[in-house]
Amino acid sequence: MIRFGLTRGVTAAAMMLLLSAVLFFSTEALPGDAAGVVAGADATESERAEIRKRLGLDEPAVARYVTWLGDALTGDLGRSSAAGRPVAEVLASRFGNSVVLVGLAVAGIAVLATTFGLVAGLRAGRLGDRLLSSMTVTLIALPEFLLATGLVVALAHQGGMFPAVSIFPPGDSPWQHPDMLVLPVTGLVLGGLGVATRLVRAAVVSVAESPAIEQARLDGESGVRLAWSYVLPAAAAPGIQGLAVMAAGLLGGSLVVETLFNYPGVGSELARAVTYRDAAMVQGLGLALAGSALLILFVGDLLAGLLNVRSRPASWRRAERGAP
Amino acid sequence: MNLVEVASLSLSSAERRVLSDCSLTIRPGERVGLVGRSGSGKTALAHALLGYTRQGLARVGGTVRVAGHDPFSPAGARRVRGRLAAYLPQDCASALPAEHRVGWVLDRAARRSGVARAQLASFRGNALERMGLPADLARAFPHQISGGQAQRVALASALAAGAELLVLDEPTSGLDPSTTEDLIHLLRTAVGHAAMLVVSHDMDVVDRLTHRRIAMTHGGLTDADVPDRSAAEGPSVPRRPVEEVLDARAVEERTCVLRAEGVRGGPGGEHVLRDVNLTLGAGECVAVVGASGAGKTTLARVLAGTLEPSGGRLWLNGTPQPWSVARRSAADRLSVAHVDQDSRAALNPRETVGKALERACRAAARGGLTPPPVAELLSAVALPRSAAGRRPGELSGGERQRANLARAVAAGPRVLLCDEVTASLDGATEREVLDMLATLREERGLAVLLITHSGAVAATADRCLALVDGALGPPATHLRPSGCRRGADQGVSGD
Amino acid sequence: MTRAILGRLLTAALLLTMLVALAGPWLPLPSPTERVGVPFEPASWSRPFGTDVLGRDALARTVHGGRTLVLQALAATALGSIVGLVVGTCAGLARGGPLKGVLRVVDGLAAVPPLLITLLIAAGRPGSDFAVLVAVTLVSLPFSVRVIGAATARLAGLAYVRTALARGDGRFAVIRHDVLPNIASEAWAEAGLRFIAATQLCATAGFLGLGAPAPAANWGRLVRENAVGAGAQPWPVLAPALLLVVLALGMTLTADRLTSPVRRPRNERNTAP
Repeated sequence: MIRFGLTRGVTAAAMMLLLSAVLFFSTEALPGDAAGVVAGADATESERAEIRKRLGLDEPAVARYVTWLGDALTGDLGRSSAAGRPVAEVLASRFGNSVVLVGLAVAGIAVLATTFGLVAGLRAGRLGDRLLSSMTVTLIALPEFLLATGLVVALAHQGGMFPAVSIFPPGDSPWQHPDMLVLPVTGLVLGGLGVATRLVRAAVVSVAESPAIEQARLDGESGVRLAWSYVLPAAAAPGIQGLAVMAAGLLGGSLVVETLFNYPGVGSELARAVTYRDAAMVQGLGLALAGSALLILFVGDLLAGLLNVRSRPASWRRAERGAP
Repeated sequence: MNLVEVASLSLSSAERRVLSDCSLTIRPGERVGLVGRSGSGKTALAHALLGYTRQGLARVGGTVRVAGHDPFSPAGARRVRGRLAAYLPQDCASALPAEHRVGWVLDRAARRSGVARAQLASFRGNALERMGLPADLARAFPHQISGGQAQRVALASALAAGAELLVLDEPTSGLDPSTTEDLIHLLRTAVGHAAMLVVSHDMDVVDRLTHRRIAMTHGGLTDADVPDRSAAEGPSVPRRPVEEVLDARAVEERTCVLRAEGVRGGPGGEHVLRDVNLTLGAGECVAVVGASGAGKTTLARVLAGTLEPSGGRLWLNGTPQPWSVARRSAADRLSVAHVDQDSRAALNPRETVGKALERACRAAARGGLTPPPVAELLSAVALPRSAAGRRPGELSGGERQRANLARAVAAGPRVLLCDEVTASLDGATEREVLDMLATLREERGLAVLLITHSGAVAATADRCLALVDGALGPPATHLRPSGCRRGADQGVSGD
Repeated sequence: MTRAILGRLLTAALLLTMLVALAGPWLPLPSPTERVGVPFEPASWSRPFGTDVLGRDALARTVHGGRTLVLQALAATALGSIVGLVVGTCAGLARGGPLKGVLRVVDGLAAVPPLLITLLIAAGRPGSDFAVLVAVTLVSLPFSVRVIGAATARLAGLAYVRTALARGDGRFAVIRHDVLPNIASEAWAEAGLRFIAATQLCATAGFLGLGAPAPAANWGRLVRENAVGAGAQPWPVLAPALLLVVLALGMTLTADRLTSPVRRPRNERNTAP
């Protein structure tokens, strides 16, 4: 188990290194680089060169990547060229808001997808399954921004039930404005629900065909008892892994939803930084989001590994000796 | 009153009728054996007694009553399943819920039969003790116990539920002889007055456990008291005595095209083969027989060079060779051809036979040989010319196996490894293919290694060896095919 | 029955949408970037969809907004599928070694949110549709490689591929004769799925403001810039949104039909009973 965790950890770290390189080298050549922004639009070429030198931009890219990565590891993500604030400060003020948003959405999806997936998977091929599958296919097919825009148009513009934007004073916690959380969270839930339901259903269907479930049915188990005590424990490991992939995907979805609702999170800040060509900000926030995605996937893998009973020792006697 | 009454029950899948018009009665306490070939519908009938059908199967007619309840109705299923009737599956180990401890499984069974929560612990202890299992087994997870123990746990949970009918599906399959004895003893002593339906292909087990037996063929029940023994035991094996097989080393070094020494290994690091020694002379046909799972196919794949063993040496045409075919020279890798068991998987379904033969001929040309034209190859395996334009799916099973042989021959091999090439063919087609192999040997001096489980097929070989415990040796007396002649044992066949 | 009719209707709508997207800019309509009235003017005979947030003709903008999107998605799918076929078949046939390592890295990459990667790659070249194309191709590549690699690995275990490799046929001959014909249907279905994902990503990229800058029309961007007025004048949002929905659902159903297990290979006729 420890070895399993270590290999996964090393893999995740390697992926992180790869992603950070992709991120750095794709954005370090932003046309409006820091020198151009700091020097102003009408600076002469020599002035720009001077600033480049001061900012260390004349060094080779690889050397700058190593410096940047080293700084990032110590918590220094550089300074935003547009706003002038340290990137780490912006990240700290936005990160919690995004965690609340994505966390709420993940919780909602986990409950809904497990219910729908169990219902559909245990009745594969029947009416309930077909209806749920049609819903799933539709949700998967539609891009998140369409679903979220649809919500805004229907519930905010036409219905007037919830605010169409989620701007609240800096320093406030999103919990103080629950009405502003409803639409963004619903948008994210709709965006991830299709994929998650499909994954849970697939896990349930493959479990439901197993000899253990057939035997449970032959033993007279049915309904909620069958689903809760037999199917769910067996489907838990693949289901958790699926939910982790979905949760990581929600970080992408949060980009769209936060932007649409002007929600003060990491995603909307990143989208804004892309528009303003703020290289340091894009790199810092991108690194944070990619790191979070990999962390979620890693934790999902670990949980799935822990849930797998077969990873326990082959002899029950020795394994239980130390237990109270 | 009868405990079980099945009246003209029919089950059907989308493609075919699985059970047709089955009627069966079991009196309380009666023990009935149900025998028949695999795939004849035994398990479907056993399931139906509990009102269960697998996905894709549907009841199209007839009724089932267990103690007066209809298990196909929701209310009846609640009374029957896990209460009046208990089902013991074929592979008990995988049928226990992997995420729960053994004790939990027993508790669930006890709760179903209405045991109070307070008495669960003592009840569980008794149940385990009655099965001769240690009390602390309750703390084990299913993957931590043996197959025999899993079966006892399943039996304990069936008895814990107080079932009046036990349905046992192949209770002894996969058990070694001594475990089988223990189980039979247990079933005769511990089950009490419950009625039993024992589904098995093992006539001996059925005879010892039951009062009467019924046979199932193609979904129909025959109340025959003396069922067709061979139907349940697989193909019959001739039991004529044969003389001793002599040492394979008698084959002269000069004519030896393939020699393997001390081969050990198997797929996934498993040592299916322990110490295999084999010599094949030019034009010689050697049969290798053995039980399924003995490693016959592994041996073929090792000799063909597609599965690397963990030890042993190989010579082809007198020169030592690496095991992996990828490291052999272009000419050497052609000298062994593997003709696969399953002709459907052996031929590319999207390629015409002619194209497949052409590609094999090109491989021969690369190895410095002059391959025969495609038309000649087709006539050598008695396929019509028009077969060249057809795809494997448009050929019959026998034609496909011939095309498979033709492709192997096209690459100009010295040795053909034929792995159960006739297993899926009917008697007449089998004889044709074997005759054709004999002709190919004669005309092209091919050595043939004939891997088979059938005594009749092995009888056509010059020599016969048995693969037992990972080593090749003379076949046990009753397995010896009739045709292994003494003269051929010298390995001199091209006389 | 109704399902079949619905399916056919959706297929027809899908074809029509593709036609509008590709040939739309040639239609005799007002310029999509010129202001022709006040913002969010209601629909009329001369302007069936009214005007958008800046008073431009909403119909013209909608009709112009699909071509880049569809072409980007098509090109990304084609590029991704071709590279995916090459890498996937080679990796699938390889036994161990560096190519199997490729598959493992690819597996890891496929789990990172595609939208995040698209944004980060395309952010480096703002205002460029080509950058979006490259980003979407790179994002879809791991999925293609994974599916094709798995399909090839399944074939590599079959006797006819083993036989061909054992007698010394070249790797590319085996891929051409034995692998490609037998994974063709899977490869097409996978390309269909990639096209759906690419369409979504390209539209979302437009929504986030990546790709060609402001005055250029793009269905994703049209939805965003006109959402503010959707209460008063829904058409400038509804029209591009509906076209995107038809594109996404139509492609999904088509791909579903391609991958459904009901379709059996033709050569199952001679199964001996």
